[in-house]
Amino acid sequence: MYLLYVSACVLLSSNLLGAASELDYDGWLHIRLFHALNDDPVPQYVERGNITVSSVRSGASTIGQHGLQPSQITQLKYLAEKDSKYRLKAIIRSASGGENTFLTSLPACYLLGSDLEDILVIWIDSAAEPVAVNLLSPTGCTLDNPFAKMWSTSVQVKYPESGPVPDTASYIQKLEREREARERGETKDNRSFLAKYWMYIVPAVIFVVLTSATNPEAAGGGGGGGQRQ
Amino acid sequence: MLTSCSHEITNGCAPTVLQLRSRVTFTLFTVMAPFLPSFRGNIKRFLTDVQLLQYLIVLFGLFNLSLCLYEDQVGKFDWRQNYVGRIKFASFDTVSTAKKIIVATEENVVAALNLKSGQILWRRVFERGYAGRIHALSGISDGDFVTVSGGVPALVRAWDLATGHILHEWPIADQNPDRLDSPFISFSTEGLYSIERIEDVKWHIKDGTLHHILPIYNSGIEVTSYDSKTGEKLNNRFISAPFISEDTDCILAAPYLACLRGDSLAVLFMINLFDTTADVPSPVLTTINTIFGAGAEGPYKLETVLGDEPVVSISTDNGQRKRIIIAGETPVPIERDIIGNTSLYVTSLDKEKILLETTYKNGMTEVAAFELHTSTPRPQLSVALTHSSVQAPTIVASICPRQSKGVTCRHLLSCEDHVIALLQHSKLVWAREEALAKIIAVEIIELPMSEGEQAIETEFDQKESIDVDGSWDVFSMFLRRICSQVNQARALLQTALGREPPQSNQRADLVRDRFGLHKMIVVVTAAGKLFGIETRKGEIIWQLTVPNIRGLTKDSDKMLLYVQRGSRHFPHSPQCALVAADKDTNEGIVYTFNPITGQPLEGLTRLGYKIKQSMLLHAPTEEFLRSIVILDARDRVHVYPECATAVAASVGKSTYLFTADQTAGVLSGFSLAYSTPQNLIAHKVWEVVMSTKNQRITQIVSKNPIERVHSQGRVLGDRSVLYKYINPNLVAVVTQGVGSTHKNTLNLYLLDVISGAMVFSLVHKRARGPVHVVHSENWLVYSYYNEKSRRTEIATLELYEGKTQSNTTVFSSLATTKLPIVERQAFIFPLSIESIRETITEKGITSKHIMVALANGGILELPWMLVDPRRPTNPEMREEGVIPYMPEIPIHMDAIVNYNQSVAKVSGIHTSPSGLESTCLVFVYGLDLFYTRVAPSKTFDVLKEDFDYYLIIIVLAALVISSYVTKKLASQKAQKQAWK
Repeated sequence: MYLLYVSACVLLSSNLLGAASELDYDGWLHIRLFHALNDDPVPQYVERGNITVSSVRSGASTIGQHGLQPSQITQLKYLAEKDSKYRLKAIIRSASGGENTFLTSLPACYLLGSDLEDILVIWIDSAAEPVAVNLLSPTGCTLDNPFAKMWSTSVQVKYPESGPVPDTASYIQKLEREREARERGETKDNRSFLAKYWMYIVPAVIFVVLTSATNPEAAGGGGGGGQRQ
Repeated sequence: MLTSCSHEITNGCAPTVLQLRSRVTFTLFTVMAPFLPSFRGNIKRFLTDVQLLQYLIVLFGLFNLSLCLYEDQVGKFDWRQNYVGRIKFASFDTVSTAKKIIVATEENVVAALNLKSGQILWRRVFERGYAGRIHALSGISDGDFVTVSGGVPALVRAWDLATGHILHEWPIADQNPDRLDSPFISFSTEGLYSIERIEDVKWHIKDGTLHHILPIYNSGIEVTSYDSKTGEKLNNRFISAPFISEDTDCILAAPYLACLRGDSLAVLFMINLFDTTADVPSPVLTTINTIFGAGAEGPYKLETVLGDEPVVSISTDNGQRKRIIIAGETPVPIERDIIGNTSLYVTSLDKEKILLETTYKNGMTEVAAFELHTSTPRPQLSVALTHSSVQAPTIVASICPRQSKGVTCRHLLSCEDHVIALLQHSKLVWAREEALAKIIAVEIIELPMSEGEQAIETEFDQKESIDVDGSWDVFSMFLRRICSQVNQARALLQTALGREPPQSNQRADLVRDRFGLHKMIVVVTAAGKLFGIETRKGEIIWQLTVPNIRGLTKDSDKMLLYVQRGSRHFPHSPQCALVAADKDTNEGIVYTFNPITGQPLEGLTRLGYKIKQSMLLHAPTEEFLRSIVILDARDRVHVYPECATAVAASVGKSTYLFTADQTAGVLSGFSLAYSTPQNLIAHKVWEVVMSTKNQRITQIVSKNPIERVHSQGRVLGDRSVLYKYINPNLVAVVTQGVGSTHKNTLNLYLLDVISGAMVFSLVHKRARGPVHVVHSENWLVYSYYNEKSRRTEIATLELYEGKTQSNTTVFSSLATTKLPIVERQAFIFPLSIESIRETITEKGITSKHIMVALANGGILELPWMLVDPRRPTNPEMREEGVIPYMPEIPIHMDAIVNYNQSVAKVSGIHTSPSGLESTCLVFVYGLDLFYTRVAPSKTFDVLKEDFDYYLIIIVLAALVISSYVTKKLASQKAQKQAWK
């Protein structure tokens, strides 16, 4: 039973927009997905579907995937029982014309646990070329039969964040402000009492502690006298 | 200078604080004891003032924590060894009164060695890499000499012989007629020729004139002469030599240039380059038949014979034999066959020229001397030597001065394993282990137990005592116990009587000490030589030469050293394995040896396949041996030793490997889940592609596998806990941009190598290498060069799971899908960085410091706290133990752990935990070796060296006595009161 399940979803997550400046160009990606459900070192890939990311900056994508046949679900369950991995191959064509093959895998039980709901994360570099494809499952591991026969995939595109730079500007500003304040002579000190006068308080406290500690006979003598009366 | 200690940032380690407090109170006791009882009354006020002053002094002392070394501690826990590297050029100094040898080496070093002892008198280190490569070294004349080094432009430097000071320096850069026409001239591209041709350029320095010789294909030779002191251009000649092409093999035998052309019917051309009498010097031709007679077969190889005369040698019959030709007006071939692997040198005795033929066979070095022209043997100059440290030597310099007693020849030998040795009268005067100037891999290994402890260990041997079969076993155990106790008693008696204990094969001082500070450093050098160096004095305990090996990849010397079994598994001896490649076939080899004694265990094993990846399996065999899993070039998995296949298969489900292909930019992960006990099978589970169009993988940094993380989280200002993202499988991949558009970008990816999941990626625009990365616990520190601001910067990343922890007991890469929170910050680092590494301790309780090797020769101990990405920029957001943000990292001079013992060209730092939690052992290698120990949180678990034991004994005794006395007095008083 082949069902064509087409869903279009637009992902506009706020954290992606924040780092968008690190992306030099916007681009598109065309992804062909193949998966292997056999429990063997040599994978036998069959087609799973296609994903088109029309804009890597916004993350807008169109997903078209085949559903799983009962035999495939059995295979998936077998994989899960054997604690084996579900392998996914993604062939990505990008705006620059290059085509690269990526491989990712996931313990099969996680797919059963999430009822065939998975997250496909595509990591791209600053030139909008794909770097890695990761398949994640939002939930835990079970061996139960899945309710769904259809993949419900969400696609996320992640780009590199910008590297930190030494924050000299604000530091210089801070120094400047302090200097100005000093010049104006109105050092408005809003520190707490302790922070302001600790250098007087700490010696005093130590003094008290030490005098009481080093003169125990004086204190003890006084106490003894009190008892005697 | 050394005793000056200044403000050191207090760290939040509780034991440190405790220790400090106790120190303070002790000081108070001692200072105030004489004051307290006597002064009362009218000087009481004065007293309080004095006390206040004391408290202030003590308070200042509290902040003035000393980390640095005191003058009397210099060299107590550290040592340094200086090296020069493998000799390229050498020359005896016969001019000055203090005899020395000037050497120029492959490590870009010029140095003067003491003739008598081989010690370095002075040493000058040139630029790294090609920019400092030495091309020529002149002979010594009136107290100075000249070197030519570098690429484009080449630098000519004149040096003072006695002190090594630079006298003159000038670049050769001005003569480029084609380039001068071009409107685009920059300093970096200005030069004579393309980089590819630079190897063809020859240099010759004679009588204060520097000749730059450039063969031009199909045209001729351009000889430009300069005054070597001033750089003044003297003349420029062009000698027609149209026979020179890409496949001509040209060498310089000054003043002649000899070129060999053709394969089967080879012709040797010789041109006098500096002959100014003839207007057009014409080359002299010699056919190969006149040299060898008929019947010689190619390919031929032309070589210069070092020494005082222009002599060349040609080898034939696949290097089986060779003959020499003396260059001159008419070249004179000497019709005498010399064995192919003989190294030749021409020295002079009075006016006579002597040919020295050095052969090495079965550990014996023979130098046979012949008169150059007549081939008459000169047996009185011939020497033979058998010495373990001289292996396959070549003479690089030789002098035979005639003295009153006769002739004493001195030969400076450079051996295959980079040893430099001085031979005099068939006696080895000294030898230097220059292989240590290029260390590839390091491991620090614990020493074994002493023999006495080993005897006790055998007495309670686990395997035997578990056996509960039959009652006689009890008797045998009893017998064994009696035996060992008798032995112990005898040993005690012997030492008491001052008699020598019986000799053992183990050195008595090479045993484990109480704090695990005395260890063995095992190093692998590029020459294929292994060394065992003990840490106390830096003495070389053993050395091993593994013949005919090279690095695993074509363009790097990378060899791997694995500790298969440590010293803790008595009676099994410790075992290390070296994984490298065979020089001829490029196939992998494994060499196992005992790291303590340097004995080969199973020797060299040829694997018969090329190694793609290897790793140490975490599961040991029954003999506590950790096997090596090797992935070959065809993705098949092997285990060394093979008997451990079943062990590897049993943990196959949880064993993963990953490989990185730099040329294709592909990283792949393999799982061994389908392995059977007979056969290991790897199958690919993930693959990541760093498109080579945009970037090139330069570094892959994983965490130290022996690292332990003590604290799971970090307490914030509001008393909540931020949990660390501690993923032991996380690997940092650094790529540098290629091509015009992405040239100056630096990418950093954090990749989980089990699941293949990318965790984080980051890009630095306008930044370039060199990149140095430290990856530890939940953080990453890396340095790079910021092109925009033209400075070195250090960036840090810190990974947190968040306020909740996904799994409190164990981390699984496959089960974790949540991406970590990444804190980041960058700092300006005011100095240039050569290498960087984190400290490591046994339990990970001690705070981490970062050891930074600086280009100026210092080793900086930088507290991680200073590069903490959570250092707040806003002073109101303060957290405990976090210093407010400052863009520049201050360099405190007393944080330089090697004080004035500068180390040059550091290529790596190795850190190892000691038996003490507070202390970390640091071994810095490069051109020099430096070893020390550092205590990042101070030595909280050891008493100070100057701890006053007597005082504490006196105080305790006084307290005990006084408590008895007071008890007595109190009881008397109570008695008296009761009578009242």
